[in-house]
Amino acid sequence: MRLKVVLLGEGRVGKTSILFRYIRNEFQEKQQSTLQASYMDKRIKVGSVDAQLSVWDTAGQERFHALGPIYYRDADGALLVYDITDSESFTKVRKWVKELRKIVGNDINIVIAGNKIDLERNRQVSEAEVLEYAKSVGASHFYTSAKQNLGLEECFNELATKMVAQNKAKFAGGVAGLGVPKGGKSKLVVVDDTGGGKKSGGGSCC
Amino acid sequence: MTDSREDPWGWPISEFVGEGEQGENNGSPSREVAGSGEPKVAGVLRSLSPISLARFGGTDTVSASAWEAFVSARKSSENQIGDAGSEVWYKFLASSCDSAALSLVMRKGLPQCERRKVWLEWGVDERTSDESWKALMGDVDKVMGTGGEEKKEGMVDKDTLHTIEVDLLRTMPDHPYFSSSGGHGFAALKKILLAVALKAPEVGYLQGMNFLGAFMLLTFKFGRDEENDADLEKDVFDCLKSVTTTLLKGYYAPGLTQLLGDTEMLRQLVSKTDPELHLHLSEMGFDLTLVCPQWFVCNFVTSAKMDVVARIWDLLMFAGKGGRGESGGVMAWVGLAMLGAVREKLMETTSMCRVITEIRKFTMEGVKDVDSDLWKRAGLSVHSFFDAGRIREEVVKMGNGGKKRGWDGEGGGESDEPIRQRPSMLSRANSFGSSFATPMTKKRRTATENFARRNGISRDQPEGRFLFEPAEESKVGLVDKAESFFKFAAELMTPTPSKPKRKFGTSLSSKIRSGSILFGENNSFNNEEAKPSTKKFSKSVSFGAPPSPKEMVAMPPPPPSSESTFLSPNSKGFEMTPVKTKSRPSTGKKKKKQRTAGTPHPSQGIRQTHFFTSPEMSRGGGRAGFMSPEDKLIMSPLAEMR
Repeated sequence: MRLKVVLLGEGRVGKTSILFRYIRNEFQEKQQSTLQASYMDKRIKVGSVDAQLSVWDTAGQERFHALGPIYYRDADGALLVYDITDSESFTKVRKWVKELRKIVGNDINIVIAGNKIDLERNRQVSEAEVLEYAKSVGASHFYTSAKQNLGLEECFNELATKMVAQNKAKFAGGVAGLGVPKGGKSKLVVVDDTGGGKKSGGGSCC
Repeated sequence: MTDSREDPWGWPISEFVGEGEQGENNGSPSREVAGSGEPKVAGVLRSLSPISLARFGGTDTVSASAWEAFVSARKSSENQIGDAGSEVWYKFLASSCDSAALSLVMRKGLPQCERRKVWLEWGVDERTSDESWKALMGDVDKVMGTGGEEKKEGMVDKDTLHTIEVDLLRTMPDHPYFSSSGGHGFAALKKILLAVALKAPEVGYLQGMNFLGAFMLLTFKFGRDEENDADLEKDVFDCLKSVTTTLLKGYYAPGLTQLLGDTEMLRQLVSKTDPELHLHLSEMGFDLTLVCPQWFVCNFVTSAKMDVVARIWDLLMFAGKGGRGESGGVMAWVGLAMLGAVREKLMETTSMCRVITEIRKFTMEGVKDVDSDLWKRAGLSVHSFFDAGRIREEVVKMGNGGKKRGWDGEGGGESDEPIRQRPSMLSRANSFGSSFATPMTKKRRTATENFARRNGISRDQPEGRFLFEPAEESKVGLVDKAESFFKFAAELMTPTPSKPKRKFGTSLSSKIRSGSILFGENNSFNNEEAKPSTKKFSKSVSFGAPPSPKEMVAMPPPPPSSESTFLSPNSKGFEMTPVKTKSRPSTGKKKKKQRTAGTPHPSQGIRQTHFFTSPEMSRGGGRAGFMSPEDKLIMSPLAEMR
């Protein structure tokens, strides 16, 4: 099963670093800003399902949203990244959620990642606020650190589980709300709370 | 002292030192201290030995006296940086260059120490005065002091400031000059970016402009004493502002309209010059929109070595001279050359991931060498597009302090006209294309005759005329622009019958067209020991086995019901409006082109070709360049192919 994941978020929150750390386990202290979209594949196992994650990295600045749909139009999941030391970056997450819901609809699975947790002492984004927001939009929330390789596996696993569940439901001609798979990661309770009706056409990659 | 070649952003020594001339440069005033701290060489005009000359065009095409003059000009300017050196250099260009010598210079790039002056002259219409620069710096200081305002007229808003600050930390982070802890360039770049954001609020700041500014800083400070270079920041500001607001208008402003348009242009170029590659990329699900933003927004700064980038910028600036607005064309052509250079690898790819990786790898590692295949390709396309004669006129005019000057020899009459009122390069390219308007059975004429005849056509036969008037240049529809590019490419593809050797000068155009001006008729390039890549290149440098014009004419028109969309220039200029194929409105009075699926009129020849409505192109409905919001979701044929 091929699943497309997009990394979205303001500039310099660490999208590229997350990508490199997660896929290649590499980290560069001095990363140049990203303009070119790039994507990398990773095979993972979600329960009994073999899934190939295609993770897309994009430019962060809002103006590049003019190109945005190219990246996320047929995405199964989005990882919205913010920087816990930068409150501005969290407001961008809200914008992204709105935009995704508007353009892609409710089908896209969203996970929010608070990156740079290694800089906890400089935290500017309040945890309560984030959790409340994540709950209100039906997204899971994780803390990550690309630098110290914290939380990334969990984060992507959660997203993958959600996406697999949704895809299965889709293939089974499922209706909204039935998307709890049997073979999900045992510790994760997957709640498909997107609520809206499913697209009948296949939106995901082949 | 470390070898500068290890510094990815430094200027490689080898490029600036003439063979056996290193010794002479000792102690010359033009030592450059790059950020890494090592002195650079003084040999600023790149060395062109007769050997490399032969390689690039054949000594026989350059008169002995021109060569002498070139060599002496180079020698003098090596030791006289600044105005005196420029003087000599211009003098050379103005007095003794014939087209071949000049095209040689263009192919080798401008001398590094002259770039600042020449770029500012070519690319910037209005220089900022010292007073207004001072005032502007005051405003910039205010912005930095207050930390940005809420959105307000005449100020930089918080968001922009934040983005700039964040990006500065990620601009060539390994380069000492841009080090966040006290790097000279770091502070300068911040001021410059803020100044542009203040002065050009319609552009503000777009990620990528940081790289442009950084590149210009490095280029402009080359060979100069930084301490006493008070104008450095101002000059970079002028240049950056001009690039973002004029030369590449619409690349940086919200919507990125022209950026998408030129991406579309490149797509058309690829699909027409190399359908095989185009098809393969489409099958992989690859879309140029994935790489073009990086290439175009940064003007290749992040995608090639500095000296290659500088060469591209020479052309960019030249193309933008006097508000001609052809710079986007340079981007597309260079993009085509890049794809061409990595073509073989791309054809082997089996997934989109590999395509992106290959391109990335190539742009990060491959584009180092100005003499590489890439440059030959880009040189062929860009350079011949510009028309060597025109370059000559421009440089001569410039070297003469802007005064007009007669040109002894061919073309002298032309230069009486003010430059800006003459047909643009683009319409020249168009005029190349319009020679296809006559039936192919006609005997091919020489390039010179062709030009006269084409001009005749443009006066007398409305349907044979160019797609737009020079005055209307700025409103040219992108599709037309792309089309004219393609026509020119088609011209390039058409093999010209070999002719007896002519006296230099008259056969230039035909040489350009046949590619021989770039590679020489008997030069080392084609005959070089057949490295596979070279061989491949020499084959596809004229864009693959050229489809005969007849084949092109025979390209099937789309079904009438085709829903393909077009970018139509509307009254506001470049707005993207999807329109149905059949009801494409046109602003130009002379756009008589038929785009419906009728039978081709025999006399129109290749102009009947439905460049933009072939079934392959129209399948996807919308394309990045001209999507309606609804279309965005089902963009590009790729979605359907999957």
